[in-house]
Amino acid sequence: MMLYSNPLQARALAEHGGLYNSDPATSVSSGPFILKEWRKGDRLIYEANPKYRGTNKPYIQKIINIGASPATMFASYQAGEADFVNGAYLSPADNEIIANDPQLKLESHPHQGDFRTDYLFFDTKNPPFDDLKVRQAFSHVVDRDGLIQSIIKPSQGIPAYSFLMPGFPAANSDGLKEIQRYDPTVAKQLLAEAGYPEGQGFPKVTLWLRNEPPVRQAVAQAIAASIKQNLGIEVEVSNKEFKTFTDALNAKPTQIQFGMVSYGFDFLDPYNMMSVWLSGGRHNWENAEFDAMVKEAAAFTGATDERVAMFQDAERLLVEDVPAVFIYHRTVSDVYKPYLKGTELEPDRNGFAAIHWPGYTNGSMVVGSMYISQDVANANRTIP
Amino acid sequence: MARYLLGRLFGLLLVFVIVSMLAFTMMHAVPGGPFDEEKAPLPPAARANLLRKYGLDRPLYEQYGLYMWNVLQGDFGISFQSPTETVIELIARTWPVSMALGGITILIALSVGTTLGLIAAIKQNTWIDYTVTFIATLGITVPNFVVAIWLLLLFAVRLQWLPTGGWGDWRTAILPVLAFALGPTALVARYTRSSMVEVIRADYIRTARAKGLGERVVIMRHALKNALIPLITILGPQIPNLITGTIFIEVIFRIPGLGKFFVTSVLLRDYPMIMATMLLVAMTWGIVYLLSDLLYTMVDPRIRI
Repeated sequence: MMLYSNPLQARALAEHGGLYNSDPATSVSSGPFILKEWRKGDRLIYEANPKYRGTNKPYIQKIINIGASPATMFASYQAGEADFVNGAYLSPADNEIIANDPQLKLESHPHQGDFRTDYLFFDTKNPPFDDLKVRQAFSHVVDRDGLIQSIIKPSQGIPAYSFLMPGFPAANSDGLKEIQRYDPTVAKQLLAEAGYPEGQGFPKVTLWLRNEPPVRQAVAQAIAASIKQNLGIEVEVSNKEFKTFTDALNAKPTQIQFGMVSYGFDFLDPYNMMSVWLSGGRHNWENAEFDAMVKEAAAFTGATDERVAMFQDAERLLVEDVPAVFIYHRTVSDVYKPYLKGTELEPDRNGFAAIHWPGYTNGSMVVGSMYISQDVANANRTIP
Repeated sequence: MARYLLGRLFGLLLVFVIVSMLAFTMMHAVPGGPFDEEKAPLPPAARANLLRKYGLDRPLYEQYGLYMWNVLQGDFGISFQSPTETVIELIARTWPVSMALGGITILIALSVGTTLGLIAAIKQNTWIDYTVTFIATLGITVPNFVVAIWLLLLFAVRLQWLPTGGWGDWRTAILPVLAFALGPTALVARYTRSSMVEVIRADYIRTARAKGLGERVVIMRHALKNALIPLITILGPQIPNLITGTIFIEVIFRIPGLGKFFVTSVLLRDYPMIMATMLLVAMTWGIVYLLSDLLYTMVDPRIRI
């Protein structure tokens, strides 16, 4: 939890009050950087902390954090005024420009953001989705690779066949990949076995979305089309207002028969993501075995490997019982100028080459090993 | 004259009180408060503490009374969205920036706008007239944030002649001023043109020409001065808007001005800042109207106070 907390220094707090860190004169830092200047409404300037004695020595002398509207951040980057822009602030239009420009494409570094997974979910207590075969049939008609290529775009997501994103503790993406694989033939067969050959007798269903932007509305439409084409079932997509959706989702019994939603982590432990599926949570799927497995794993204090294996067993159960059809894990693509170097910007074992979790918190100025290489001399760079 | 002025100033004071009452009741009538969190609601005890700290737990009339009492002593409180400074400090930091931007814009609108309108009127129904009219129509109809993005993409991203934003040296001011001034300049040009076209046909202009006055004297002294009256009516109300800033231009060009606070204060239910911005606007409007009334008497001797 200390990763999420910002401790204050008792003496500074007593002498200057709770906002002492907003003024360079009274600011106290035990980290690699120290606040040098705050031009309100304009920029924050940090400099390497000369008194820093820790192991995370800064290689960058000065960081200028410019407060800009997300709409124009990319313009500053293109104009050579910014070295780095957080992918969370890039618009679909910006990402389109990046995807179509060979140089910018090299500068784009996807990472897992908040390990967010988008998925379809069902009311598993009532027909027709109380039937496992129906849910399995739905899980085999989502063409994740196609969606990523044509709608989501490779810089913005990777296919999901399970809940935990690669890089998240206990993630087992490869091991669970086959269970909900794209396979329309199997899907048709399962639906027939459930008593709805070619979708005959299956009621028309509505797919609820939680105030999604155009890109995920298109994803939902594409999935609905695939369900219609492969299973012969009519699906109407309805993008609901955020509060309407949330109230209907949390209502007991739930008012959403078929929906699409996402979840991103709050803290870096498998229990955090898995607890979404515990009985009595936001979905009405209930599985006593799953509950017991997750709770036991959460409280387990033995070897980490063993604990991870326990969570992986629970996730396998989750994927196999299909309370959800996993669609994709969102990635965030930051842009870094090519003269920025450092181990953070080299691919990790999951292929992510950006500053990312763990070791990164929002608002932290930890840039770890990053440094500005000699290539900067050739870059057309201006400090605004 | 002095008596008239005194009366007007007293009227201003009354407007001040009424605006403050209206703004105060309206902002409290809007649902939601400054400490309502959408995602993670505060524990009730913490919320109650915050409300007590800012006096928001008391009855409304008491809050208003306390606010006005503090205002009379020059204390406008602390902005909720920028708690490291007082409202006065915040306005002192941001308003000069907006005023500089607006001031240059007004100067450009007046000089360039009247010149263009004048030329268009004199060369009525020629290609010059049509060009000016076309640009002016464009300037009025295309919103300034669209123009701002065009300028940004062309001059900062493509050509890289100018910075994308910021505020400091003169180079940062060029694009925002251009984007901001286009609308008012176009407005002034349009009105100058139509009003000049009318005046040029008036009898006294024919008389002036008949007396044998040179064309320059006829236009500058006799025609333009009379054509300016509608302009005061038009430009007057633009001035408060121009000198109190604009969220669009300021956000696009990263200008640390006052304009955005008009919007963010309301969205964030930043009560002290809402009140301060409302009163500020009421004051600028009052003063600008007073000044334009005085200006009428100078331009048109028939108007008496």
